[in-house]
Amino acid sequence: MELLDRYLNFIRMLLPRGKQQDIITELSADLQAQIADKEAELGRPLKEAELETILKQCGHPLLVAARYQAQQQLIGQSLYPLYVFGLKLVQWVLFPLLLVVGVAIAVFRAHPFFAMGQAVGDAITGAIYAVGVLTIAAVVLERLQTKLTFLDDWKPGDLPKLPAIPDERLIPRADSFGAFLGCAGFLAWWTGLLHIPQTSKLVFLNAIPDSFFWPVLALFVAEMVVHAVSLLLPWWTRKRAAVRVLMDVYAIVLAVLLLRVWPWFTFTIEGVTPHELAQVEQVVNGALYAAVVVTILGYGVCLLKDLRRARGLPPFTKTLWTWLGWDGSH
Amino acid sequence: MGTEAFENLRLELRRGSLILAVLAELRKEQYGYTLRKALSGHGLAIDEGTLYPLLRRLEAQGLLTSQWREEDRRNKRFYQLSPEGVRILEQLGAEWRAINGSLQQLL
Repeated sequence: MELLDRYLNFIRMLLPRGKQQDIITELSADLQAQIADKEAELGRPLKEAELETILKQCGHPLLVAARYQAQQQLIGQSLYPLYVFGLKLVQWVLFPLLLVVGVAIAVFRAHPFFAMGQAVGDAITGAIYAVGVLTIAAVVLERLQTKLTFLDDWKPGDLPKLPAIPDERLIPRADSFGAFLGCAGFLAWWTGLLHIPQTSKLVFLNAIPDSFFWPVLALFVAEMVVHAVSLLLPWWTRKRAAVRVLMDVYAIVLAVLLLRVWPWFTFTIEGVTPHELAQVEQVVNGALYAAVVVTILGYGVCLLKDLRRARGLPPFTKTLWTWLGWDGSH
Repeated sequence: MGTEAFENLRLELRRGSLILAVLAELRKEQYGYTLRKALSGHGLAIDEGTLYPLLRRLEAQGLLTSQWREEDRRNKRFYQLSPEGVRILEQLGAEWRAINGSLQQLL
């Protein structure tokens, strides 16, 4: 019976104090009765493997002991929806806020890139702390068996008026957030708040004419505003799509004008011959030229989509795919 | 996947029914092992890891009474319905019959 004792002692260790002996005596009586029945059936004492089978059927000690705990779940059904709502607030409000504020402050620091990395780390840590605090609060409320009266005493008429948004009109918040940060980063560089570190050995100069400064700034500020609105109200409206159509056209015109003043950057690299320098400039400016061409194409696609959205239609229909020769079978 | 879904739903369906079966079987005094055997005999097998915590929960709710007694040279804890348990069992039985009647019409 050494195996049986070992099994019961393991369970005993995991049981609530004060109830251990009572529970173990009862469980032991049951297991011993099972063993006695089996031995009577076989007409001989049980082999170790047969005893193991009985114990395995009873369950792992961790599982058996856990079933005797008064609390079977950390957060119960009544609190869970509220807990999930709290988590969503952390994900979509607190974390972006910490990130945007942290990065904005980092731009003015002596070492902006380093400070930005730190700000991202701080935002992640802050969000993890918030999730931890939220979880602990929910667990405490669960343990106190707190009755959330507002979940029972509510009026349907008090609910906010939210529109029923079809899937094709929804804007993923992650997309808006990523685009907002991307625009903010570009603007920080464009306005000179963020200096890309240069050494005496490598100097590159922005050769884009000054006349582009305000038009580009206006475009990216508008982009940030639209993405911030989409972050708060993540669905397309006809008005927002109409604004986007104007922005798309403006961006395409601006990008085409930008192509006409190419190349945009000049370099000074210590110890490099003028010929090699020309090659470096050609490669870098060439890559950026290609990037702007791709951007124009991207804005072109957005323009087609936004024109349809502004008319209250889904961005692309099956008819369009069929017209383009894609029958949807692959 | 289909088997797993069925198994989960079957367990969920049995969970509530087992409480009713345990209460019904404890109209007469029994200890855990004989109770398990009796339930198993009715086609409602329940493992010891589930039954004993359930018995304690029902006792804590005042639906069962229990006492330790020696039988066959072993200490055993005998359970039986309390007066409150008898009343609740009657109510639950009526509820069960109503649900069963409704389901019979649907299935």
